Amino acid sequence: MQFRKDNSASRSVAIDMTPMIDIVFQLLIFFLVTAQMAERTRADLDLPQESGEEAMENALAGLTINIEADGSIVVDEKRIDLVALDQLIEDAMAQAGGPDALKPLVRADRNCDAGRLNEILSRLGAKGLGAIRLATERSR
Amino acid sequence: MRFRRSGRDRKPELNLASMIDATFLLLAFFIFTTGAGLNESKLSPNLRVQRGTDAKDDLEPQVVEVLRDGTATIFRLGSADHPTRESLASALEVLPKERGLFVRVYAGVDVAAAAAAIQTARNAGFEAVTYVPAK
Repeated sequence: MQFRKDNSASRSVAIDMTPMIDIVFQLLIFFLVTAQMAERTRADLDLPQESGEEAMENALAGLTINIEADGSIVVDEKRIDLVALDQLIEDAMAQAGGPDALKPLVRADRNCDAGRLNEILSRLGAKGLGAIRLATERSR
Repeated sequence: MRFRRSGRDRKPELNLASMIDATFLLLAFFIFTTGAGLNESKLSPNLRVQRGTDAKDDLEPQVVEVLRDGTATIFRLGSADHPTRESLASALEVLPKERGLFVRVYAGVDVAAAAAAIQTARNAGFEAVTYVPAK
C-alpha cells in the first residue's frame, strides 16, 4: 500500500516570479530614462559648495543654463551665445505658458566671474523672470 | 506500451535565472549612478534687475554687496566690510528679517562668493533674499 508523502518541508514551493520581473523592468526603465535626462541637461561643473535650502519645491526647471568657468554658456550640451540664449528663454517661456510658470535653473561654475552670471541673470530679469534657482553642490 | 511524447508537444523551458541576474545588476547600477547625480541642491533668490528707479521703491533696503577689494573678496553691509562669511553671518543675525535682504554682486568676484552671501543670508533667517546683478 502506497502512502502520499506528508513531509511538507521537502516539497518545493512554486513562487510566481512574473510580478517581480514586471516591477524590476519598470524600475529599470525609469532609472534608464532619468539617468539619460540628467546627463543631457547637466554639464560637468564645479558648483558652489553650499548646502542649499531645506524647503525646496521640486518643480521642473524647464530651462537649465550651464555656465562654465571660462564664462561659456552651455544648454543641452551645446555652447551658445547670448543671442541664442535670448531665443531659448523666449521659447521656454512660450512652452511654459509665461514668465511666472518658468523657473530657470542656473548652474554656474564656482570659479566663474560673477560678471558673467550677472549678464545672464540680467537678461532673464529683463524678460520678466523673477524666480531663478542657483544650483549648488552639497559637500560630500 | 508507452511512447515518449514528441519534442513539438513539449513546452520549452527557459532558465530565467541569468536574465534576472543581469536585470538586477543593471537596476543596481542605475540606482547608484542616479543617486550620485542628485547630490545637487539649490538656492532660490528672487531676481531683480537694477533699473533707474527701482532703488527708490524700497524703503531702507538692507543690502549686502559682494565685491572685490584688491585680491580679496569682501562682503559689505552698510559701511562695514566683512572679509569672511562668518563675520557677515554674525552681522546679519541682528538685523530684522521681515524686510528681506538684497545681495548685490559685482563683477570681479567669483560665483562661489555670490552663492556664499545668499546661503549666509538664508542661514541667518532671511526668507526673502533678492539677487541684484550690479552694473
